[in-house]
Parts: sequence; structure tokens; C-alpha cells
Amino acid sequence: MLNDTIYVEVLRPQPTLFIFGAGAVAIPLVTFAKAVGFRTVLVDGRPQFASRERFPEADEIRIGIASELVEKIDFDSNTPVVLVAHDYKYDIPILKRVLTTSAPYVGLLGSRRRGAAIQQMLREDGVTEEQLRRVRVPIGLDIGGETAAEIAQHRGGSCGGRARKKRKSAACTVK
Amino acid sequence: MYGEVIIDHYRHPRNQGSLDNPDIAHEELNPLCGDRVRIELALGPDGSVRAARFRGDLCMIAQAASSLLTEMITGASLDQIADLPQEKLLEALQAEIRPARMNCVLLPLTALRAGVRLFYASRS
Repeated sequence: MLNDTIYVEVLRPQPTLFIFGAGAVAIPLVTFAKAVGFRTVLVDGRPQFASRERFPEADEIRIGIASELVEKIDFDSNTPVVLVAHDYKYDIPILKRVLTTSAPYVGLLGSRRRGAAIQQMLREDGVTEEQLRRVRVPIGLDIGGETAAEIAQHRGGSCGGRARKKRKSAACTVK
Repeated sequence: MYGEVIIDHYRHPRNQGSLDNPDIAHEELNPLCGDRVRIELALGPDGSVRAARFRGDLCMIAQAASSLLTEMITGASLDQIADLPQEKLLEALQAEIRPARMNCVLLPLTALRAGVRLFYASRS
């Protein structure tokens, strides 16, 4: 028995990508995330943006005070998060909440400079350096994207890669 | 840039949160910038505001205005709230607010007035 190879396949629920912000980048991001196997939940306070017409492929759309809605979400290792609102009034409270959870990926839309400013505001609010290191900003792979679809593509690619890596690490060979 | 009062109320908002069983609760949205606020009031036996809370996704000015407003109305009667001029809130912010940011200041006041109006309507 000790010399036998045992293959363990871990079956997990479909990963759920939480997207905060229903702007132009979120539209192709939802499409792309769906295509690579994510369930998608979109959160925004603006019904005219977070609409079924704009996001026909989103599995769920939640509209309300985003900083309040985020407190009711049970994030875990199967729920990566991306913030694409590009607005500090969303980014600060949502990051404060998400960084206390085990969400496997926390990506923030913005430049390095903007990211540093947001991280400094979080630092002043008591968020630890260890928690801040989990924020991926700029998110995604640098493919030189400029359009909303290109930006969404490299965000989705980065997020999908990390989530898959996490899932893959759960499957192992025991000798 | 914004003045000490706005910065103080943004960094240390007063009355931020929710009430268990508010007598009045109303949410307003600025569709242009995405600011969204809910004002909640608990009334005392005499009809005056026993407690006021706000909750929202708000820019610095809107959060400061919400915080100040909840301080200003605590203890006030609903009639006093209905007559509260926006100039009083602007004055309390102690900063020059540009016309483009005026909606940020007025959003919590709009929510408050609408909430009180609906409260009266529900009782008549």
C-alpha cells in the first residue's frame, strides 16, 4: 500500500467571481469570466449601470450600498474578487472587508500610483501590511491593453490563472 | 482643499451605521457619480429625532455632509427638519463648495426630506 500511487481528485463548487463596479470594463470581464468557467456576481449601487441589459451573462446582479452588501457576502477560497469601480468610495470599504477574508485573489483596477494611494488610505485605517500585500494592483497581465475588452481580458486571465492554481494545488498525488 | 471640518467628518464620521428598527429610512442615489446614502431616524415619544444614522458609498464631501446632518437633526422635531434650509448644512461644512459638487452636499438632505415626507404620507 505504501508504494501505491493514489490519485486524489478534489471536486469543488464552481468558483464565483465577485465583481465590484458595473462600468465599461466589467462588461467584457463578465463575458470572459463566464467563458473560463466562473460564476459571476456583479455588485454596484447604480441600477442604470448594473442592469440585465448591460450584463445579460452575469449570474447575479446585486444593487445597493456596495459597502453594506459586501459585509453580507461569505468570501472563501473559491471566491476571487475584482474591484473595477475605479472609485475610492467603493474601493476603501470593500477592500477593508475582503482583506479580512480568505478570498484567493483580490484585484484592484488602477495604476500603480492609484494603488499606492488607496493602500496608504487603507494603512491609515489600520489594514496590516500582510493584508495589503494581497491586493493585486495593477491587476492582470501587462499585454498593453487599452480598450475595455483588452483590460478585462488581462484581468480575467490573471484572476483565472490564480484561481486555477489554487484549485490545482488541492489535487495531489500521495505515495 | 476641503477644509478641516470636511476632512474630520470624512475620517471620523459621526452616526455612521444602521438602527435596529428605524421609524424613518430612506435611500437616495446620485446616478451621475454613484454616491448612494440611506438616512435612518428613530423618533422619541414626542416625535423628535431620538437617533439618526447614515450609511452609504460616499465621496468625501457627501460623507462629511451626511455626518454633519445627522448631528444637526438629532433632537430636532420633524417639522424643524422639513424646514431645514440647505444653507445651514452648507454653512456647517465651513468650506467653499463648487457648484459641480453641490449635489454631494445635498444628497443626504434630499434623502432626509424624502424620508420625512413619506413618513407623513404613510400616516395621513
